[in-house]
Amino acid sequence: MTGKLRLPRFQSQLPILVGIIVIMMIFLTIVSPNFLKAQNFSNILLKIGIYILIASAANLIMITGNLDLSVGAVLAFSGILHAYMCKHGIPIPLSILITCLAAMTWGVFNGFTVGKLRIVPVVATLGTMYMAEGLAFLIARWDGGTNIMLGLPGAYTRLGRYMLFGKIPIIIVLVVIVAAIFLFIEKKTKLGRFSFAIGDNRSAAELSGINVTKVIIILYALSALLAGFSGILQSSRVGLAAPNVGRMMETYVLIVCVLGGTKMSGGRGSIIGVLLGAAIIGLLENGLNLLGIEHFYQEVARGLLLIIAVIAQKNSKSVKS
Amino acid sequence: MANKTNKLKFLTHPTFILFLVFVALNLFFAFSTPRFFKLSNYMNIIRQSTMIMIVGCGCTFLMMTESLDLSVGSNLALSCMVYSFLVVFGIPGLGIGPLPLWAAGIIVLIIGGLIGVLNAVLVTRFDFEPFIATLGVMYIGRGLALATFDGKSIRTGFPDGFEVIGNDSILGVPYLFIFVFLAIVIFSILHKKTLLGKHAIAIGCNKNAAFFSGLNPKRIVTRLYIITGCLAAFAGILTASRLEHGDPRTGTGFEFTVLVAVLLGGTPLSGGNGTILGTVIGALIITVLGNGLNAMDILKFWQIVFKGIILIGAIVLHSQLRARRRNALIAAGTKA
Repeated sequence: MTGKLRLPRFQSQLPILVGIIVIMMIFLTIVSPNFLKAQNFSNILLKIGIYILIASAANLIMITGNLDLSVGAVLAFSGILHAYMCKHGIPIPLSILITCLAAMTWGVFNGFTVGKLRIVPVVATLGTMYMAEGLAFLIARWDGGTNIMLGLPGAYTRLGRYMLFGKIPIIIVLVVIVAAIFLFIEKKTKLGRFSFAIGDNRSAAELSGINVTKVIIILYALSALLAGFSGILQSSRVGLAAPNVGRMMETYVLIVCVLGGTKMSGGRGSIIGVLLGAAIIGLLENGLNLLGIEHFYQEVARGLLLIIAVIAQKNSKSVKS
Repeated sequence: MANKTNKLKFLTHPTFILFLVFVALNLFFAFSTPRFFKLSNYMNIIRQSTMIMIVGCGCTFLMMTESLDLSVGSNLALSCMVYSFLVVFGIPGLGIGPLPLWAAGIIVLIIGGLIGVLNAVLVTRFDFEPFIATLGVMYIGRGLALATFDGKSIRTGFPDGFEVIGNDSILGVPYLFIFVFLAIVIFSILHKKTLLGKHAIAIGCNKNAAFFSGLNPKRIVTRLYIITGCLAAFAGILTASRLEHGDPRTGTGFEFTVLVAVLLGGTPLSGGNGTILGTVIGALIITVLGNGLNAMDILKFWQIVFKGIILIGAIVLHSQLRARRRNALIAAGTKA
C-alpha cells in the first residue's frame, strides 16, 4: 500500500477463488445428484443475483475505504414504497421512477454525512439503516398490515417475472449488464480510478485535486439506487412486499465483497472478485441446503467462510510482498 | 479569569450536553404522557437498559482502543441458551445431569471469555479489521446459539432460584440494579484510576506511539475482548433469568444498540477518547426514547426511525463540539 497510484494487482487472488469454486462444484456434484440440474443453477443465480447487483456498487464504496450498512433497509423500504404506490393507483412505471429517486435520496444523504460531514461510515449508514427500516415498517403499517400483498394491480409482477426470450429471468440479464457497467467504471473511467486513489490515500487524493466528496456521494447514490431497484425487482417477483426482507442483506453484501478480495480499509478490490465471491456464497448455501444441513449450522459456516476468506486474502498478500 | 473559564468549562463538555439532552427527553415525555414520570416506570427503564450498560462498559474500553465488538449480541444469545440448557439438561454427552446454577454460570462465563479470545486472536494475530472479525464470530455465535436446542427455545424445567438474579430484589433494590451499579463503578475506576484505562486511550490515540512507549497493544486489546466477552455472557445469564426462558433469537441487533449507546456517550469509533459515564447516559437515552414513545402509544417503528436520527444528529454534534473544544484549547495554549 504505497501512496503510488496504480492499478491493484489482484490477479493472484482470483485463481484461488476460482479454485475454491471448482472444488466446491466437484464436491457437490459427487455428493448430491440434484446439484447438476438447470433448475438448481437457476435457483442459485436468482439467489445471488440481488447480492451481485448491490455489491457491485457497494464494492466501489469499500474500495474508497468506506462502507454502506443501509443497503438492506433501503431495499426493504423501496419494495414497500413501490408496492404502496402501485396499490394506491400510481402507474407502475411512474412508481418505479419515484421509488428509484427516493432510494437515491438515501444514498445522497449517506454520501453527504460520510463525504461532507466526515462521519464514520459505520455510524452514518447505521443511522440511515434505522431510518429506512423504520419507515419501511411504517409504510406497511399505514397500508394496514405487516406487509403489502393484497390489492396489488395484476401487472405488478410483470417486471420481476419477465423472461428474456422466454427463458432468461430478468434479474440475470440485469446482473450481466450491471456487472459489465461496473467493470467499465472500474477499469476505464475517472470514477473508478478516483475510487482507488481515495481508498489508497484520501488526503493525497484530495490534494491532487480529486473532489472526494463528490465521488463518495455518487458512489453512495449508485449503491442506494441499485439497492432500491433490487427491492422493486424482488417484491415484483414474489408479488409481495415485506418490510423485513432486507435484514442482514448489508452483511451478506459485505461478505461477498470481502470474499472477492476487497479490502475494508480500501484501495483494493474488483467486480470480478465480487462475482466470484457471490458464486462462493451461493454454492455454499445451496450445497448446505442440498446436504440437508440445519439452517443454524449454515450461519456457523457463513462466519467461518468469512474468516477463512480474510485469512486467505492476508496470506496471498504476504506472499506477494 | 482563568478560574472562571475553568468553572464554566463543564458547560461545553460533551457528556454534560448529553446529560442535558437526557433531561430534556425526560421533561418532554413527562409532559406528553402521564404514564411516563413514575418511579415504577423509571425502575423499568433502568431494568431495560441493564444489558446495554453492562456490555457497554466493556465495549467502551474496546472502542477507546479503536476496536469494536459486533459479536456481543450473539454471545449474549449463546450464553442465554447454554446457561438454560446446562441447568435444565446438564451435559448429556458426558452423562452429567442438570448442573447447579453457579456451576452453569461459571461454564457460561468461560465460554463467553473464549469467544472474546477468538475475537482477539483474529484481530491481534491475524490482523483482521475488528468489524469483519467480530462479524464472522457473530454469525458463528448465533448459529451455535440456535444449534444448542435445535433452533427452539427452552421454556420449562428450570430449577428453583433460576429467576432470582433477574427479577428479585434485596432490601427493595433489584439485583439487576446492583450488578449495573457495580459494573459502572468498577469500570469507572478501571478507566480513571488504573493503567488499563490510560493504556486503552493511549492505544486508541496512536498505536505505534503506545507500542514504542513500551506498551503491548495486542495483549491489552486481547484482555479487553475477553472482558467484553465475559460481560456479554453475564448479560446472557441475566437475560435468561429475567425472561425465565432460553431464547436463541434474543439479542438480535443488540450489538448495534450497544454501539449506538457507546457512540452517543462520546466514544468515537476512531478511539482515543471516551467515558463510562457517557456510555451510561447514552444507554439511558436510547431506553428512555423507546420507553417514552411506548408510553405515548407511538408505534415502535417510529422508535427505529428516531434511533437513526438521534444517532446521526448526536455524532454530528459531537464532532462539531470536539472540533470547537480543540480549537479553544489551541487558542488558550497560544495565549498562555
